[in-house]
Amino acid sequence: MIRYLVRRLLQGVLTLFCVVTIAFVLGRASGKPAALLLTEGATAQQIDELNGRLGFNRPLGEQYLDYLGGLLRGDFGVSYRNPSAPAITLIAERLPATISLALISFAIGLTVAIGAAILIHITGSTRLRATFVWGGSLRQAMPDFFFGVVLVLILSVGLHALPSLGFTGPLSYVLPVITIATGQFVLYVRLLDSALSEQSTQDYVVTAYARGKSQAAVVVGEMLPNALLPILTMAGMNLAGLLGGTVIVETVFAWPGVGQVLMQAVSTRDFAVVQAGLLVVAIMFVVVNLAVDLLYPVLDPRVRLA
Amino acid sequence: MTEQLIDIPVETVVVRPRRRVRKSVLPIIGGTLLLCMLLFVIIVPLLPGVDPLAQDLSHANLPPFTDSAHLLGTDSLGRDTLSRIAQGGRTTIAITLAIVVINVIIGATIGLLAGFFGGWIDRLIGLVSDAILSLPVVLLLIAISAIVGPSATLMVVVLGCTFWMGYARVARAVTLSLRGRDFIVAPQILGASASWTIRRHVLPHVVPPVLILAVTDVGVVMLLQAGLDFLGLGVQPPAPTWGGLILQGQPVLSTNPWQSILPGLSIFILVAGTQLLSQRFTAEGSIPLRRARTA
Amino acid sequence: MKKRSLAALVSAVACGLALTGCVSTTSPGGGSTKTSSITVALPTEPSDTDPIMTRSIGSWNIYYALYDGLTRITASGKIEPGLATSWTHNKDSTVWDFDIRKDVTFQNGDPLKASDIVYTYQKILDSPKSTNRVAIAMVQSVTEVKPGVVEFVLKSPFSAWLNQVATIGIVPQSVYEKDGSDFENHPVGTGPYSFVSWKHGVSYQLTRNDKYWGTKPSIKDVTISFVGDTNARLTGVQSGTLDIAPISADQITSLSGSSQAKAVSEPSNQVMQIGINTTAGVLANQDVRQAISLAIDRDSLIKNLLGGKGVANGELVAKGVQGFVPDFPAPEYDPDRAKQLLSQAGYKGEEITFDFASTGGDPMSPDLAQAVQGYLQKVGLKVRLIGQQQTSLSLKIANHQITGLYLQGWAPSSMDGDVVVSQLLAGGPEDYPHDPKMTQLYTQQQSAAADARAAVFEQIWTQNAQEAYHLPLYTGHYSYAVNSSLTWTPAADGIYRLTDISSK
Repeated sequence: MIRYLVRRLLQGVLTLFCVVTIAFVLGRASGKPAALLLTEGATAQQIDELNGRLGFNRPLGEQYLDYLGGLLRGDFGVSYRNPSAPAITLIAERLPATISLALISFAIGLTVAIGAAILIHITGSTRLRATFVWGGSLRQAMPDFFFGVVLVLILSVGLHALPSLGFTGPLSYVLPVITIATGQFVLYVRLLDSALSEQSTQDYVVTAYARGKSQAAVVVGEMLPNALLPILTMAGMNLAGLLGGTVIVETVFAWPGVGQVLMQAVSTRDFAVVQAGLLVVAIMFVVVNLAVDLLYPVLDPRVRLA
Repeated sequence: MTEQLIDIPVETVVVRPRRRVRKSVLPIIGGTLLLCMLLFVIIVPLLPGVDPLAQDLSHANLPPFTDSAHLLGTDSLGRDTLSRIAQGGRTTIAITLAIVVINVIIGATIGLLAGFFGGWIDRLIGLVSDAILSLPVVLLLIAISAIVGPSATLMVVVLGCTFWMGYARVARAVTLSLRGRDFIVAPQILGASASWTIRRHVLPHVVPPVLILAVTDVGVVMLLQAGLDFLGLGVQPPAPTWGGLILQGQPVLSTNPWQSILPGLSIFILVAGTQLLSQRFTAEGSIPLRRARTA
Repeated sequence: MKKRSLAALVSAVACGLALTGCVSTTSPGGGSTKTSSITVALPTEPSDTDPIMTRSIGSWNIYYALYDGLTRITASGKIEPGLATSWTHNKDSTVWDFDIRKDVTFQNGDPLKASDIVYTYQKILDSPKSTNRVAIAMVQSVTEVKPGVVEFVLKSPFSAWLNQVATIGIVPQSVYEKDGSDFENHPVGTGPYSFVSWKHGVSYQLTRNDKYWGTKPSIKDVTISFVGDTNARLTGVQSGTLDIAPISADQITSLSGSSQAKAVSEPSNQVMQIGINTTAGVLANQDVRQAISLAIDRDSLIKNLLGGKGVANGELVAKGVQGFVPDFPAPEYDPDRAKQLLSQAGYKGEEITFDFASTGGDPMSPDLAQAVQGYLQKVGLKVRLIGQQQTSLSLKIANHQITGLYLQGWAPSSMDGDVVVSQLLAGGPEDYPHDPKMTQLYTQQQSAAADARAAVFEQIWTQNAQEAYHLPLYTGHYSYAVNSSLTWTPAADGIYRLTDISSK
C-alpha cells in the first residue's frame, strides 16, 4: 500500500514536471510579450526595456531553472499584465466557479443516470431503456456550444425564465449545468445499465430473489452498489476532465472559470498565468484520479493496491 | 500503473454476442445514415455549379428553398450553403478520420509493445500515457495555436498525439492475454523474431477491438473538433467546416436559423450514425474502451 | 422514431431542470421595471485598473466613471473642461497652463488640490512600468506655478495635448501614496461613480457619487459585466440579463421586433483599413496597391455586410477625430481599371498573404476579410487568407512582421489623428514605406496651430491616397443592444460614458 502510494506520488510529480516543462516551452516560444503589453506609440527601446524587466532577455536555461526553483518555493510567478497580481491568485480566484460547476453538473448527471438505470431495471422495460439511451445519445450528438445556445434562446430569450449568462446566483448555474449534465448523462446510463445487466445473472442476485426480496429492493439494495464500481474510474476521469475542460461551456455562458481566465491569458500573451493555470489543472487531475484509485479498494474489497 | 484496475480480462474487450444486443434495425439505420452522408459530401462538390467559395454579396442570407440556384440558401457573403455544407463535410470528416487514424496507429503500436515486452517498457509507457492523460488538451491547443497560428494541421497533430491512450490500453490488454498461449510462445522458442510473431500472431487479435473503439471515437472527435472550431482554433476561413458554419450562422440565428441548424444537423447525423453503428459491436461499459475519453 | 427521441430529449432536459430544484417563473432581474440599477457588458476584462499604471481601452470604460481628467472628451468627441475650468498655451504649443476647478472633492471626501494633479502626472513619469508614460512622454515638467494653476512644459510642440490630458485620470496623492499597487482594489477619484467592488472575471460594481461636481448620473448602480462571446452579449440583452452590450453589425437585425431590447448605433471613431507591407514582393509596386484599392466595392461591403451602418472613407481617421478632413474623396471602385493596372504592373499571379483576426477582434473581420479576398480574386489577384487571434495579429503588426496585406481597424481613443499618423505612416510599426515626406508632414502637424493643422492633414491623406500605403475602407458604427427602457447615445470612441445613460 505504502509502496503503491509512493509510486503514484512519484508518478504524479513526474507528470506535473512534464506539464510544467511543456508550459514553459510554450511560454517562451510565444515570443517576447512586451510589445503587446504596452499601448500604441511605445518605442522599440521601451519594449526591450520591459522585456528585460520581465526576465525575457536572459538565457533560456537560466529562466527555466529560475521558474522551477520558484515553483518549489510555491512561487508561480507574477502576471506580466498586472505586476501586482501573483499568477496563482488569478487562477485561484476562478477555481470556485469551475469546481462548483463541474461538481454540480457531475453530481446531477450521475444522479439522474442512476435514477434512470434503476427505473429501467425495476420495470424491466426495454422501451424505457431505449428512451433514455437514445434520448441521451441524441443530446450527445449535438455540440455543447450549439445545445447551450438553443437552451439560452428557449429558456432565457423566449421565456425569460433564467439568466442567460454570468455568475450571479444559484439561477446562473441552471443552464450551464443542464448543458454539461445532459451531455454526460448517456455515458453513465449506458455504463450502469450494462453493469446492472451483468449483475442480474449473478448468484447473489438469484439468491436474493429466492429469499423473497422485491425487485426494487434487489436492484437498489444488492445490485446497485456493485454496479457503481465500474463507473467509478470513468467518473473520476470525467470529473477531472470537467475541472480542466469546460472552456466551451464557460465561453457560451460567460462563466468566470479557469478556462476563461486561461483563454484570456493566452490571448493577451500572459504566459505566467497560462503556466500557472495549466499546472493547477494538471494537479487537480492527478489528485482526483489518485483519490479514485484509493477509493476503489475501500468500496471493493477484491481490489488490492500493490 | 494501476494494473489491477485496468487489467480487465480480454473477454470484455473483444466482440462477443450479448444477450442485450438483439438483431436490431438500429445499426442498419446508422449505417444508412453514414452512407448517405458520405455520398452527399463526396458527390455534391463534384457537381457542376457547386462552388463553396463563390461570393455574391447582393444575394446574402437567403433562406433555404427560395432560390433555385441556392437550394439551401446562402450565407452572409452570399455563398451557397449546400456547397459549403458538402465541402465542410469533406474537411470535417477528413480531419476527424486523420485524428482517429493517427491515434489508432500510435495507440495500437504502443499498447502492443507494452503488452508484448512488459517490464520497463510497459512501465515507461504507462507513465507517459498517464502524463498525457492529465494534460488539459483543449487548453494546450489554445496555447499552442496562439503561438503558431490555428490551423487544421495543428489540430490534427495535437489531437492525434493525445487521444491514443484508450487504444493503447485495449491493445495492451489483448496482447497480455495472449502472452502465455502456445501460438505465441512456440515460434519464439523455434527462433522466430519478435516482430514476426507480433505481425503474424498478435496483431490480428489486436486490430478488431481497436477498430471497434475507433468507430465509437469518430463521433467524439467530431464533436471535439466542432467545439474547437467554435473557439476559433480549427480550420480558418474561408474553408468551411461544420463547426465553423454553425458558428458563422450564430449572429443570424433568430432571423435565419437554418445557417446554423443545417450544419448542426449534419454533425448530428454523422455522430448519431456512428453511435448507432457502433452499437452493433461494442460491449458497452467496458472501462478500457471508454477510459480517457474526456477532453 | 424522430418524434419519440425528441420527446425523450425534452423529458431529459425537464428532468435536469427539476433536479436542480430551481425552475423559476419570475424574471431574474432585468426587465422593464428596473430603473436604478443596470448591467452593461464589456467584451474583455481589463487585467489592471490602476489609472497611473495602465492605459487600455478596456480600462477607460472604468476610468471615465471613477476619475476625471483635466479635460473631458464627450461622447461625440468634443473637448470640454474637466477638472480644469480653462487653459491657455503659448504660440508653439509647448507650455500649457490649466486653471483647476475649485470645490471638487474626491469620493472619500478629501478636497482636490492642484498638488494631486502634479502628483498624478509626476507619478506616471516616474513609473517606468506605466503604460501611460508613453502617452505623456513629451512632458518636460509639471508644476503648480501659482495657487490653482498647473503648468506643463513639453519637450516638443504637441497640439493634441488637450486630448491627451483627458485620458489621464487624477488620483488623490494621500491615498495613492499609502496604497500603492493595492490602489486598484479600493480606488478613489473625483468621477461621477464610486467604486463598490471588483469580482475578477465577473463584474465591476459602481455606485453613483452623490458629491459629484458635475451633472449627476441618473442611474444609481452600475454593474460592468465581462462577456467575451458576441452571441452571448446579444442573448444577454434579449433575455434581460444585461441591459447594454456591444454587438456586431450583423446582429442588429436579430433585434428587430423585440420588445425587450433595441439596437442603438453611432458612427465610430474607427477606420477599418487594409495595411500593406509596401516592401514585400509585388506590393512594392504602387500600381498593384492602387489596383487593390480599386478592386474593392466599399459601398457594397457597407450595404450588405454592415447593414448600411457605415460610410466609405478615404482618410485613416473617422469623422469627429481631429485630423479628419471633410469632403475628402472616398476611394473609387473600378475593377476594370484595377485589372488594367495589374497588367500594366506585370502582375503574374504571385500569391499575396492577407492577415486578419478570426477571433478576439472585431466580430465582423472574418466576413470582411473573406469579402475583400473575393473582390481581389475577381480582378485576378491571388490572395491567401491567414486567420489568427487578434492578439497574434497585433503582435505581428507591433513587431513589424507583416508579409503582405492585413486587415486592422484603427480607433484613436484620444480622438486625435496624431497617433494614427505616427503609427501608420511616420515611423511607427505599421509604417513600411518610410516616406520622408510623411515624416516631415507629421512633425509639421504637431506644431501647427489648430486651423493650420487641417491643411497638413489633408496633405497627409492625399499623399497616402496617391501612394496607396494604407487603404482605408470605411468608418463603421459602434452598435449596441440596449434594454428598451433605457435612453442612451453611445460614444464615438466606443467607451462608456455612464452618465449619459438614463431610464425612460
